[in-house]
Amino acid sequence: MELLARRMVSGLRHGLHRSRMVGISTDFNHHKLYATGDALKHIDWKASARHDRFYVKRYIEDRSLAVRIVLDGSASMLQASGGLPGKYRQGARIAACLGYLVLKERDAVGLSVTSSAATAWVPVSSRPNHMLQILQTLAGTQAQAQDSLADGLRVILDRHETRGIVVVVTDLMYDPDPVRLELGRLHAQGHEVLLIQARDVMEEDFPFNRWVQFSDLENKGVQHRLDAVLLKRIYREEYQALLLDWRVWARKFGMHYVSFRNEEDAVAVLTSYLAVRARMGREI
Amino acid sequence: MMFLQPGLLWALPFALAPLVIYFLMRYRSLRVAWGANYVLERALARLQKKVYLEQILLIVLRTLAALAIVLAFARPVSRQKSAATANAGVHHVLVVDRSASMQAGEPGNTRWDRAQEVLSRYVASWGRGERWSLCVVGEKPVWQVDGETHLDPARTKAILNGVKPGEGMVSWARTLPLIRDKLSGPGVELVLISDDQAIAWEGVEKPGVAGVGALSGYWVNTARADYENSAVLQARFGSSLGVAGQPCRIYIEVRHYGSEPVEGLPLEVLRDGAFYARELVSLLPGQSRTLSFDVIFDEPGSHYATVRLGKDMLGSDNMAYAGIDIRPAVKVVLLRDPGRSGKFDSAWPLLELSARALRGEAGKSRVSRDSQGPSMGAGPIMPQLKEGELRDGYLAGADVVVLDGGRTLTPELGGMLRDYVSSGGALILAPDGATDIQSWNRILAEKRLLPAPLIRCRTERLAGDRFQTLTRSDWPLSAMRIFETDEEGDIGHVRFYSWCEFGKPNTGAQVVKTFADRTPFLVRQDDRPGAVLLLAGGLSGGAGNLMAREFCLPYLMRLLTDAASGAVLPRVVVNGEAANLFFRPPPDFKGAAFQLDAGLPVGLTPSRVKAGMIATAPVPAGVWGLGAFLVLRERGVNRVWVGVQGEREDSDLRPLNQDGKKRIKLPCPLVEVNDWPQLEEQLKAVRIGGEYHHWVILALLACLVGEMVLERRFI
Repeated sequence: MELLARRMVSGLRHGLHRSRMVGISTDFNHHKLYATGDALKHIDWKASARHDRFYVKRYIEDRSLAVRIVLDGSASMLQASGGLPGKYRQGARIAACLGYLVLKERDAVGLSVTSSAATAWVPVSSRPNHMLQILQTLAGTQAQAQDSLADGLRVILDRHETRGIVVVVTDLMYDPDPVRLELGRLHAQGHEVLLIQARDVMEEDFPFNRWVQFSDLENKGVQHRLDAVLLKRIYREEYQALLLDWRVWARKFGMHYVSFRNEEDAVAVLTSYLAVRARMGREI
Repeated sequence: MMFLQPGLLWALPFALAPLVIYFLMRYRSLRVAWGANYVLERALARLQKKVYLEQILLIVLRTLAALAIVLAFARPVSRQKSAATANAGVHHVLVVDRSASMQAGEPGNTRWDRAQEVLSRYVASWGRGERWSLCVVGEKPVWQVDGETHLDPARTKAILNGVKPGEGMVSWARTLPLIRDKLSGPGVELVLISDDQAIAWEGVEKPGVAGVGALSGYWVNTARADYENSAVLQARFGSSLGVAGQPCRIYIEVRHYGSEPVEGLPLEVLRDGAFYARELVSLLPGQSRTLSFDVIFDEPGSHYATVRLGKDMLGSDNMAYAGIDIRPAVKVVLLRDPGRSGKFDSAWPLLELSARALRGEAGKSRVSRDSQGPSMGAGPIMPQLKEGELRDGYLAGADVVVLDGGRTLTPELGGMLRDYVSSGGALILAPDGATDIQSWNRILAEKRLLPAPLIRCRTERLAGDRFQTLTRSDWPLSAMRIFETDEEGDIGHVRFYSWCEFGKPNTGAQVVKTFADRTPFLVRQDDRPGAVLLLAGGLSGGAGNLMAREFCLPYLMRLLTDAASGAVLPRVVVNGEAANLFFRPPPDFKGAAFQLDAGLPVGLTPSRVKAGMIATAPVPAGVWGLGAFLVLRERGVNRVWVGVQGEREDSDLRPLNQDGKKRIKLPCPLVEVNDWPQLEEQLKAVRIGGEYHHWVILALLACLVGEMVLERRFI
């Protein structure tokens, strides 16, 4: 997984740095009218002389970036069809790549793998060897039990982690309301939320033309035996409606939403997203 | 609703196949571990009720589709027309041909048997309460059932089983106009059962015969390549009187009506019911042939012969019966003047010679003179010579009396001869040059004993160039037809140097034979029960005359027996006419009856005539067989056999050709079928409407569309 992350990120870093160097000042942000209490050393005298007012220079706060990656570790992420990598595996790949990328930028990254059975927690750190801990956590954790993403997000709030980017890698196959509540809180506290949805081909296409007995991966014993032919259209409608709902909701809160199928190449998905993000002036 | 293939309805359970498949597929469902259960449950929650409804609807649709397929193969048909006519009442009109031709075919598989099978199946298809009529057509149509309500199938079948084929012939051209009023109308379903015999349908195509377009229905043609028929047209003995021990020739006329020649048809003659002779006959198409057999009866009395033709399609016309009376001998009385020398001087010795020759006793005279009393010889001819005055009773026992031309004829003798003929005797008049023509003409004419007036008698020089000869053909009497061949001698070589010329024969008299110059040779006058024969020449002893030839002995024998048969009324009668029996009642006579073909005897009331009684029995038309007069006595019954024959018009089985069928279908637009399956097919198509092809297809399409609308797939 580390090799994969290295290979992926080595291709990304060049683009990222170049974008950072072009046109944008690293410190100065904007001018502000002087107010009582402002330090005099920040007065821009040249600008004050030109406008006959005192202007104070404002600078971007120069802090390290904290990225918290939350990976959905519920059993539904195990869904894999047609020999393709499962949702969890794809999500883990993306998490590893992002972690590696962040650490290379000497920013801090943390990882949470959430499920109702157990939640793996890797604190945010920028130490170079922190990547090893992340990879060990990804490799040593199996998707299991029920979804517990809302709880995992609430932990971030409860721990008052440094504001940064929260990357949620999940399949979104659960009741959205609790998760949205927590995501909304994170957003309200200044976290930038990035939703990455992993979709399984079979789950989305619903390619069945006969009677099928569906066994719920998260809840053992829950089964549905039905004629898939009758349900196919409605299921697809519901599936697409759920995707659209998440997309609309994410846009409404200014969150980035990336969705990909497990048949797609993770490198391409991540590359295209980072390129878009770079054009928007965002960092990673 | 009815089905043309009801047997396929057993496949109806297959319509449940979709249900079975539903549960099978449900049982054998694919097991999938599913992560998107949240979406699945949302979809299920949204469609929970709809899913069940659609499931049921889909199963129903599929079951209906399977049902439609099964029904499509079972070919459902509507009862639309039946329902339409049910209110007015279906009226089944059966017209059944019971002519003799319906008996054609192999035993057990005749046209009639096939007709019975069709009738039986047809009646079984009727509904209770439907009306039906039955017209049985023979020589005339008879409505046996007229608009009766069909309630009891057993009774209806019993009526139909009671119909038997007859002997007559059907002429549809004559019959259809008589019955056509009942053959059409609302609700009438006409089924005409007949064969395709050409002569039966002859003339139907003539305008106005059957009423153009008036007939519609079905013609069940039961004929099956059984058209080659031969028939015995008639069988008659040469004379209804024979002599015991002497051959009695029976003439049998057979004819082949088929279109292919036949070979080796066995023709058998049975004597009193026992096999007697057999001959194989080969006939060309349309050929008639007359065969003859000599049958010898040993015992006197009434006898009969049966003629039977074997290996033939139509059995009813293969038999014929002929009766004959056998006498111990023919008693001949010759009347002449004593001491007369003339025509019969040599004729009489010839008779004597003939008697001995036929008896097989050469050189031994058994001829009795007047003084010697009646001859008691046992030969076939028992001649007696009567000279001088006759005494009462002289002629009583004679079968034939010959009046010599030289006999002095007195009114007393004329009266005696009159009585003799009236009592059944046969009189041969043999005038010659010595005959007193005037007195003969007067006295015999007065007594109605002269078939033709005498003009004159001629005697030419022997061996001269003037003579008369007979031809070997045109013998109207069957007994004499034998002389048309050479087998009994060539009578045409006989020259007559002495003969008489006659005037126009009297009413009731017929010229039996003429000379070569067409002048009469033999004139016969039947005076039932007696007969008078007038000979122009022959019984002459002169050299070169007829009786001088030995080969003319059979001629003499037949002439005498034929003459004597006048007292024996014909033992073969034509059906439709009366059979007569002349008999002398025995002392213990009680009554008379007539029995036909072993049926019940019918009592007769004989009328008295001179010297006996005559019993007359009507013979119905269309009846063939063996009849018998029963003379009832206190001790026993005397049976006299009579063959009942007649022309069979129905023997010609040749079928209508295609052109003929087209012609008769113009006035009779009947749908021709050959058996019950074909009739059933037609009846179902017309009586119960068309097939539900389109409905079945529509049902199937509806199921398909239903599936497509539901965006489902077929199993």
